[in-house]
Amino acid sequence: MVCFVSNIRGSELMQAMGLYERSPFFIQLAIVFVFLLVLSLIIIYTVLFNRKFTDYLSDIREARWKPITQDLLIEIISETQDLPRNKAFDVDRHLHKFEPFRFSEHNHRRRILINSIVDLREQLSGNTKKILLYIYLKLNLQKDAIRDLDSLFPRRVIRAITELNKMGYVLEDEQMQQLLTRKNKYIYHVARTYYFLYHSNFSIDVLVERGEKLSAWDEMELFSTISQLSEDSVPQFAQWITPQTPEDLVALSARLAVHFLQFDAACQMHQLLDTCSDWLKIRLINAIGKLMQAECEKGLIARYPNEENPEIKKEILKALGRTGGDLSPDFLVRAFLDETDFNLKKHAALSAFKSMPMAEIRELPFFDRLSTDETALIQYIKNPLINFN
Amino acid sequence: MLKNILLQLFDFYQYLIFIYCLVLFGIYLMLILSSRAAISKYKRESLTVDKDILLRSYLSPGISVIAPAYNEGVTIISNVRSLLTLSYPRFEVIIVNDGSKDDTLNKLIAEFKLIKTDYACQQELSTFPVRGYYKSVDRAYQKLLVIDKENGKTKADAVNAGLNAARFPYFLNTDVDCILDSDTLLELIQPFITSHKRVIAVGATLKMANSCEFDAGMLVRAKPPKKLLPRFQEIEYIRSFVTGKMGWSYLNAVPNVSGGLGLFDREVALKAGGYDRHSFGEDMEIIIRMSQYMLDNKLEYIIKYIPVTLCWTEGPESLKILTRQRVRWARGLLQIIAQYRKILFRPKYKKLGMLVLPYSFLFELLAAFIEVGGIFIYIFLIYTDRIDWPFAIILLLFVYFFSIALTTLSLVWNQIIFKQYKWHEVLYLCFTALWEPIIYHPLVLFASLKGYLFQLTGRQHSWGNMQRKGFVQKPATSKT
Repeated sequence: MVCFVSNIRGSELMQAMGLYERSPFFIQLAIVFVFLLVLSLIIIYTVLFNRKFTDYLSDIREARWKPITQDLLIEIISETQDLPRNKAFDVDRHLHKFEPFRFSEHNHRRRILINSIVDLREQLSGNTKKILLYIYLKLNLQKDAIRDLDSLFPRRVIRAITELNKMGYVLEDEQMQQLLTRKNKYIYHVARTYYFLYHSNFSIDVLVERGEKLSAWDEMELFSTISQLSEDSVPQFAQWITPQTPEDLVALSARLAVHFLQFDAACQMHQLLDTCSDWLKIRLINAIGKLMQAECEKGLIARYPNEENPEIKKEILKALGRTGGDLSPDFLVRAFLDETDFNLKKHAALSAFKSMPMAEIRELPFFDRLSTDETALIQYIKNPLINFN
Repeated sequence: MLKNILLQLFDFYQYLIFIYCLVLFGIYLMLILSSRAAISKYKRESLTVDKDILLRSYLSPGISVIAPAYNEGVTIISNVRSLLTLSYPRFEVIIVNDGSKDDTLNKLIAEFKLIKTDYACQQELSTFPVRGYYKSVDRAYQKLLVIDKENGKTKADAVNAGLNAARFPYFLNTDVDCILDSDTLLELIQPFITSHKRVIAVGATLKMANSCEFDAGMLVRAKPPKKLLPRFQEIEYIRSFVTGKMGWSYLNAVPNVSGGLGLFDREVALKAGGYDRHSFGEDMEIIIRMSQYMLDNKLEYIIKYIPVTLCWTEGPESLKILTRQRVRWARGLLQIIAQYRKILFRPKYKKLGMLVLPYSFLFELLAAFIEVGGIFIYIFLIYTDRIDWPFAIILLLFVYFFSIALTTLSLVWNQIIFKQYKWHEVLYLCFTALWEPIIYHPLVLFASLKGYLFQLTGRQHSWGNMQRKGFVQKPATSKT
């Protein structure tokens, strides 16, 4: 760009004021940009100082009110939690202590109080959680979050749902269902967790209706949420292990069936193996193995030679190591000797060791005739210093 | 006649350079906007991922942390301890002792109670011979595996040895002398598990550790470097990561994931052939190789950057070491462009062929030559008295202010989002940025040209390993 200046027939006497009008287009453009850039620098520096100032104000407020609210909460907790029976009036007696600080009138102070209650509730356990929820409800602090559920700003809605979730505040079933219809995917995600935790009669069908493919994280989060529930409050997940259900939800249901030890689901999983994709097949075989259903053993062994995908073969070998049936040990030893793929050989050996004691393996006729690589693999698998999980 | 032709050619060259600059500034503006969008998206997405779930869940995918070490005896123990304390439910730490001549291996054996052990793994990538695998008899260090191998002259060879032994589907490539944030794995794995498309690599921001305070391998307080040279590098890194790489990440056109910190899909890395041990720019090379593999097999993929600082590394404080480092980077770039020239401008390779490599070629590799050419022409114009000073100054001011605005925006943006420094320290960095185009940039330009020359003439140069000074140690009081 610098060399372009040679082409310009500008006058040496050009005055500063007349420079712009008499300049070629690209120089005019450069002048405008220089001004814009200087302006943007001024704006950036203004933002910098403004942020510093607002941070400073916020820090002052926080430094003043946070210790007060935390001390107050801890004082009430310490005076009420050790009483033989935590009756409501035990806490009620202390509620007047909040009045001088006028939390209901000052948004900023109320936000600090809510955050302190939520934080404390996360850190503490047992009766304290109930006391904190009681204070939260008695001071009517949930009204901000409930109001924000209808906000146009997704960030506020997300904060509101998260707050209600962390406080264990249960909305009406219909309200929960309504939140699940929100188009914003971030709101939907937090609403979904809330729904599965607190809905009185949840169903995987709400996920089917949404038609959204689950990511690995979605599955992990849903599994983590649902697995927190008690066994008697969850449905039979086998009802979603069908060809009609989307595969990602079948995989989730299979995982949940394993977690809640719903052994009957193994048959459904086994039936689905003939029609599903390789991805789901891997997941279902894994679940069958974890449910340790020996009756599926024969089917898995029969399937092994016909499968081309080494990942499926690997899962079959792993599952056979868990099922504990009579046919597995011989099959696994044979697979170890016959397979040429390193990974399959390794998993066959690992599963064989799981399904029969080392002493028995040593007595097998082939044990002394193993190749160097096979012996090394056996040594590796036996190595107690290596964790194969 | 000849004079006219020459003058016309000169005019044509000027217009070409003018268009070149317009495109370059256009790209910078686009990167500013797309990085803003990428950071906002990251912030929104991180709201939905609960790290506690990730930390507790046995469903979290396993990660192999691979850290090659060569003559790191001074700092190896604290650095390995730092890696072992990463917060993540399923990971292993693989230290590859790349034929160190000092006491690196002996120190590891003594400190972590290591014994040589049987280890069977598929040698999918060829490397210099492995002398042994070491595991700890102490269950507290169950996650640690030390590979002792012959020196392969490059980091790539050591990482390949680690890749052969890795057990998990993802691997983190880092340098053993880097200090990682304890949440590194929790942060880097998120794009892999939240995306519906296959993510093959994720990088994060690196910063200078020179003046930061550490305690037992953990960052206590982040501070901008006090010395001028590392401070310039800090500014360069922030601009490059916060604006450059985040912007490219939004467009799914990330050219490289830093060699100091990157999480990769192991399967794709292996299928693509692992790291090229002859490359000077192995971090960029592996990304192009993995991308090429995915495109050749018609598989969709994503390479992402996250705007969080997860790695602190010691920046060169001497001009000599800095020059060596930049010479190597420049050689790497030229080597890669030459190696992958067949991909350049080929629509079959989509963004890789039409955007990533062309940008690297036109606006990184050629930029140095164009800049030097510009300086010579400037001198020539001054000498022949054909220069129009007011216009020349306006254009110089334009370039200068554009550069300053871009850097300042990145610095302030970074601070607003992550608040890693105190505001007066950001201001300090902003003032340093005023000098960067005048002092630091010419040094980097010189080193780049030297690197290109070395590569073209096949001249050998030192790898640029720096003498570690160690970090400022302070007992933990509070984390900023």
